[in-house]
Amino acid sequence: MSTSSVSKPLDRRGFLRLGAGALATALAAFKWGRSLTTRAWKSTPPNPFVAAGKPLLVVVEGEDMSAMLRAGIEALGGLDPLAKLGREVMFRGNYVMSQPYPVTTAPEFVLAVAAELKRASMNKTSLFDSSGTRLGAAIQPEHMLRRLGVLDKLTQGGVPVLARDFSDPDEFVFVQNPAWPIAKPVAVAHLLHEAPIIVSLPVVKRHEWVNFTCALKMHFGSVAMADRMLVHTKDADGRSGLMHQRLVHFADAVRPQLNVVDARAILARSGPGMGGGAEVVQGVNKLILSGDMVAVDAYCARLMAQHDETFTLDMVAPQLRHAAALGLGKADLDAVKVVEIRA
Amino acid sequence: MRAALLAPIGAFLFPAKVSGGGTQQPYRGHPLLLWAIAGLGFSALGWVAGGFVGSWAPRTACAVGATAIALGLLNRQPRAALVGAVSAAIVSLAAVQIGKSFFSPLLAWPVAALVIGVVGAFAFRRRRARITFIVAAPFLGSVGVVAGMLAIFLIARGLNDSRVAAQIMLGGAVGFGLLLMVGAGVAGRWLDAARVAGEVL
Repeated sequence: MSTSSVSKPLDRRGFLRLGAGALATALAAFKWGRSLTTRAWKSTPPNPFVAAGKPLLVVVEGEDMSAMLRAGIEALGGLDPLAKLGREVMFRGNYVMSQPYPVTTAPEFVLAVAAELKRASMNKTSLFDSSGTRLGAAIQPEHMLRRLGVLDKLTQGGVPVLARDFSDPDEFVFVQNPAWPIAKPVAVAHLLHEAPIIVSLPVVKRHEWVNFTCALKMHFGSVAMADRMLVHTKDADGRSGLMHQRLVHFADAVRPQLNVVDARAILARSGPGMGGGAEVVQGVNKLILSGDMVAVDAYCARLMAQHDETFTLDMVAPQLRHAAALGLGKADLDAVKVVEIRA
Repeated sequence: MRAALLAPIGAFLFPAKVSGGGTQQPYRGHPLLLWAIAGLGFSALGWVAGGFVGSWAPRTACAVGATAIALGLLNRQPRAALVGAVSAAIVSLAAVQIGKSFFSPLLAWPVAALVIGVVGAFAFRRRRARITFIVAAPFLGSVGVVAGMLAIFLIARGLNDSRVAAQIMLGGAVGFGLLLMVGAGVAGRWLDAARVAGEVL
């Protein structure tokens, strides 16, 4: 290894090298800095599904999923308000682990909703998911969706699946709502940030740490692993309240225009997966449709309380209160027009 | 008292070269801090620059390539820098592809460190320095990546900021460059010092 060090004046070649190095550094710094820039959180048009100034929430009871969906959409007043926003729809499902419905959104349900959207002339539908990383051979973003049969069924059914790496900073944009009490940005998937229409397809489940998961909590899957990891490590059991607040901020960063809950069955007693005393309650046979995700959670929490004696509405009150305070929707069902029908 | 405490640190940071006559001369290589800063800066620059091309694979290739360039330039061997950079980048790209179906693309880091270790070893004059650097390089690279990721995670957790947490792999790249270059600097100072009378090269 050389041990001599002689200082020389900068010649032309040295100057050019230095210049190229400085330019490369400046470009890289610019790109890096730009990727860290916090943008304004998504501004979305007001809830398109309202009646007499109240958000509309349609509950359909029945056995035939397609008939229930069609009746629910009709009771909602049709999908024309959505069609005015664009022709491309991005679906969000709940894919937290490789376990079938009601732990995860059923692919048949996604296809049924896609068919209804096509009938309303929204021709392009796709499913966004981010539940894996390319940094591990066994946890690739498509891995869980493939095991569940979601990838094949949706692709064959004409609904492309956009599975993204939850660790890749290039897949996310930082957004922040000044109204959040935690003045830190959230890294939301840029595909969701830029999608003109998002239709959320939640399932109804208990959750070990935040007690309940439906339309709000499912957006943990819409943000980067960095955010999920920070919340899970700083509030491992959900007792500090950070997780209750942050899950609302994650949902606020996405703001779907329509939520269609598949509550034909629900996961009671424990969750978000099977095991730990979790119990699938079959025969609930309901679909819930609304543009108001807070109202959806308020209604579905009542549904859970009816079927799970270990669950009370107090358990979900902190997140509903916080969501309502941020203007995400109505937590008080008296302020919502609930339409219950049979199909 | 204070001088006695600082003496070992000074001897570590600024070691003396033993001349053939048994007398000691001050070490005239680059300061250890420069090796550290070059490793840190080049690997970070490579990682960010790789983002212009794509995701993990180009980022990893550019970061390991930039580290090889830093090593070659500090050794005043521009050709070795180029050879090291190109070979480390190609091998890391291959390792990322293999890692996608076997274990993890993170395999690329120790593999690339081994390549840098082999190419960088030619800069040493003494066999013990060469062998030590070749053997230590994959270990240093791996530990650097893990330590860098862990450091970023702990900082992000302390600040509760996902902007920092999102840079976890940048931290890994920085740790890789830092430890590998410091390893090269230390090997040069400790193991590649000029021959003492009677010692076999």
